[in-house]
Amino acid sequence: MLYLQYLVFGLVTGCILLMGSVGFSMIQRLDNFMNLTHGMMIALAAFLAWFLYTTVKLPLLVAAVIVIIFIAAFTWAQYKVVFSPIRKAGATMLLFTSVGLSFMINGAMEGIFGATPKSINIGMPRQFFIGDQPILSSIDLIIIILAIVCAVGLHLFLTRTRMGIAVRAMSSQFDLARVRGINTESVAAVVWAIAGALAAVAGILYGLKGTVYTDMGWTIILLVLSAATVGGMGSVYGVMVGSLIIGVIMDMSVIWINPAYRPAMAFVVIILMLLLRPQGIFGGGRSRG
Amino acid sequence: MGNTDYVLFAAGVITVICFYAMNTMALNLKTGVGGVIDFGVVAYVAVGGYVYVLCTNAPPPPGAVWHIGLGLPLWVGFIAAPIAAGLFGLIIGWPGLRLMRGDAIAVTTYAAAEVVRALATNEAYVTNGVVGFHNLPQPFREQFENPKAYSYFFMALSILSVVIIYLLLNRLHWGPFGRSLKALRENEEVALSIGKNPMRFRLWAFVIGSAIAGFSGAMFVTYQTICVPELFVLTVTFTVWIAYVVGGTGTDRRRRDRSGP
Repeated sequence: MLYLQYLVFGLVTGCILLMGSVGFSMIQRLDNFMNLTHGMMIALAAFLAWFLYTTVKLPLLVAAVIVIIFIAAFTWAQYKVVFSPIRKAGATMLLFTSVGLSFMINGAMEGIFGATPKSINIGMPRQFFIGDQPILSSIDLIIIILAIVCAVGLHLFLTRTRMGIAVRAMSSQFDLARVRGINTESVAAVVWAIAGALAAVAGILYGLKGTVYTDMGWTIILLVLSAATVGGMGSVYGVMVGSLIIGVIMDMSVIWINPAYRPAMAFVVIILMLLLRPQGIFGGGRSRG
Repeated sequence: MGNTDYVLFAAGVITVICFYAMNTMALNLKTGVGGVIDFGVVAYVAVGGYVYVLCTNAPPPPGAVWHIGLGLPLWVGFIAAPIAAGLFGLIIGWPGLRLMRGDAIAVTTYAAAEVVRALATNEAYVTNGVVGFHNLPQPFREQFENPKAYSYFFMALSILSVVIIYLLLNRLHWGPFGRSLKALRENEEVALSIGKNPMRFRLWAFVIGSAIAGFSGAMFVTYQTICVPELFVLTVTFTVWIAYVVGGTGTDRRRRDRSGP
């Protein structure tokens, strides 16, 4: 019974992580670099949701929509202003720029919202029971449904729409896609906006499930990176499975190991993965030197 | 505030600059020359710092939370710190370097730094948890009556270690080892064809870089006279990276950082 409960916890954690890391993976596939700012976007979304819900006192759903639109616009602007102009400088420079941007956003968040941890208080959610054990709350159910909707929606977007097919073409052969007349610049900008929107959803859910603190961006990006490693760098479907695996392993490890090491378990998974199956579960993505 | 206070402050800043200069040179060996992206700089610094403290600290008083304090002379600590950090670098670097995938190494090293901080915070029987260690002994402290004179002395000590490490690395860069590393970085196939083993060279660069970072960690905790997990945050890694990028990636010039204590 205990195991089942932790398994469900893990799946819920994994579902939130899924929405957080899919966007990261798409950007990585497209622009060929690790965008560490993605973690900060998740943290910023959590803070904004807290601010709009607790301080401005908007209804939760309205607050969520505003946050999603804002973060999507913000990542879009990031791409246009910061990352697109320096794309030619190479993956290391792009990675480092994203680190610098993360520090700027981190500092700004700490300055504006203060360093004390916050939580979004939405009251006790309804619990679902199996026998007399609480197994799932209504929030958990919403998270799982949202994750499934995200995954299916993204799949349909990538396979059924012209834009999605253009994204996949650019991911596998950037120059060829441009020669064939795909407007690479605008497609990339759309991908960044979608990634931002997904990050915002993940951030709001993180806020609802736990506390909101300024350094959460750094903790979350570690989990996102490990999900990406487990799934195979840059593979969108791999990263979904990777997120669920990381979530389950992290939460089930609590049964045997000190809970303080919960994030550290992600590291163990990365190392095992690199030793046993370095190309990731699905082995997607381009290999880089 | 008198003139001497400014000079004293400057001495402190220079000591911190020396700390970052050592780490940036180590990073240059790993990333600039070896081509290995390392996002875990602070991990080796932390390992070096803690090993130094554990070696040199007096045995714990009865009732203390931590259990290890070897009470060895300070110079033993300064030798043990780089050795331990180098070994740690070997363990961390091996899985990623075996594949030589830039992203994999970046992720493992980044995660390793987080794990080291989690260990330092939670394994209180070794590290005394978040409280850490305070009032650490400093080398040759008893020779100086005046604490101000000692800060100048420590500054000189830091500069001396930077110069020594610089000279050592310079020899390494221009010797066969460094030339092989650069050949591997520029064109792996050609280097392979003349019988250079990329894994071995890069792993050595990684271990040497980590050892230097470990030594700088020992210097750092000595300078601060405290050793707490809060010293070894992610910011240290990225400050070193900023210094590295500002100095120009992959060149052999020395890099420094301008941030104060």
